[in-house]
Amino acid sequence: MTTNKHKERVDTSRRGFLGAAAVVTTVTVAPGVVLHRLAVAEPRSEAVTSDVRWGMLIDSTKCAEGCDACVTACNRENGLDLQKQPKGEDADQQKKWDRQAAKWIRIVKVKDNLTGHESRLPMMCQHCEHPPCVDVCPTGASFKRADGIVMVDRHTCIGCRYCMMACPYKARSFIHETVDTKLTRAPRGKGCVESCNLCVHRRDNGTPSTACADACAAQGQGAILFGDLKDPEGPLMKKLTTLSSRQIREDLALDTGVRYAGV
Amino acid sequence: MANAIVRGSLVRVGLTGVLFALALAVQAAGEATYVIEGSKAAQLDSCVEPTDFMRRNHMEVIEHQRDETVHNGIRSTKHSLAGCIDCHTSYGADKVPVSINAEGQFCIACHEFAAVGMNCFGCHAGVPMQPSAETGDLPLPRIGHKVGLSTGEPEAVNVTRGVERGVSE
Repeated sequence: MTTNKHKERVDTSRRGFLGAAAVVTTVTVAPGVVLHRLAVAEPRSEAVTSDVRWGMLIDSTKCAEGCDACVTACNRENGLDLQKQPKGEDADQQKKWDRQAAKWIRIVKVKDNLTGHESRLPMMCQHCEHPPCVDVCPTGASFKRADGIVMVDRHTCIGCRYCMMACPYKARSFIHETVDTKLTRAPRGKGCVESCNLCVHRRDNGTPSTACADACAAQGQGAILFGDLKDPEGPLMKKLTTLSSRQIREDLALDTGVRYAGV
Repeated sequence: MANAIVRGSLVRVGLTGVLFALALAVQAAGEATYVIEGSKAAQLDSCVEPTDFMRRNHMEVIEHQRDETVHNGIRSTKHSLAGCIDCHTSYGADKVPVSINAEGQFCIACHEFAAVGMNCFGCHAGVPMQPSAETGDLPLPRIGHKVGLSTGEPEAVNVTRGVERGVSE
């Protein structure tokens, strides 16, 4: 019913509304300390449509060595820093935890052996148009939302981890232990797989951008640009038309929503 | 025969009276414990739906809402789990919210009595993230989680920490 309604009538007023919601107030507290306060918009009341496809452009030439602002911001936004390392006698405990703790963004370094040139790629779920994780999911928990966000419905996830095997980007994490402290905007529990969802609570609440893009911009790098891949007038598409960008593992023809420049 | 009928109805009246008194007592206690004073729910005659409906059907309502939210992104409706938590979480003496799933609290009190398992709070937070605007209660005391939140007040401490940690060297 609702889907049909959306097919008939495209509500473009929301785009203007989102634009208006993108007003950012900046307050300077002390030298070097800047506070950002985003205007509050109304939560979404109509189902997401395929009129938009959210995506990102990551300019790896702007990604600064030693910076992990995007990872830190993501961890905070999505409560990943609330995970507790399980206690154990194992000597390799720390190593295991480093491998197993859920991460939504990893900084991957790629080195050209011939020239020695090194690129830094913040790697997260690439939000493929044809996601392999969705193909393999036996319960339908792994799904692509109409607006292009690939995510896990943890109500139906059985924790089989097929999607983790299928993902060429190693983007998904499994929650091995009970999580005591959760955020309202980012539920998390033992036995489910999860990954970057392009700050889906922000999308639904009308807040612009993502935590990682905001953090990167706040650092002055501005390497991450978030936007709508279907809006030719939007900042993302405008940039993509002028800047040469690539998909990671483009040989797999997954049509990723996250593109990289300078690779 | 007539005597037996009279006795029977007397017993019935008596039993009904006892049950009614019990129900009243439970209700009175329930109201005192489970709806936070000054919250949105406290100002309403009933919850998001009539109380009787909610007692019977809250699980259907929440389950429907969860699919709408996860798959369609609809977060504006009144049937949200976060909404339950906002009005029905109690606060300790130190104004710190007690998980709605903790012993004797709103959700678990009934569920334990009815022996119905529930695993919402395996993943979902049992306390409100934001202080209730109405009550002015404090949020969950966790430093460093409000950065980038659209609804939170900016906190100088958090932002400084974020800037320090993110600076490239």
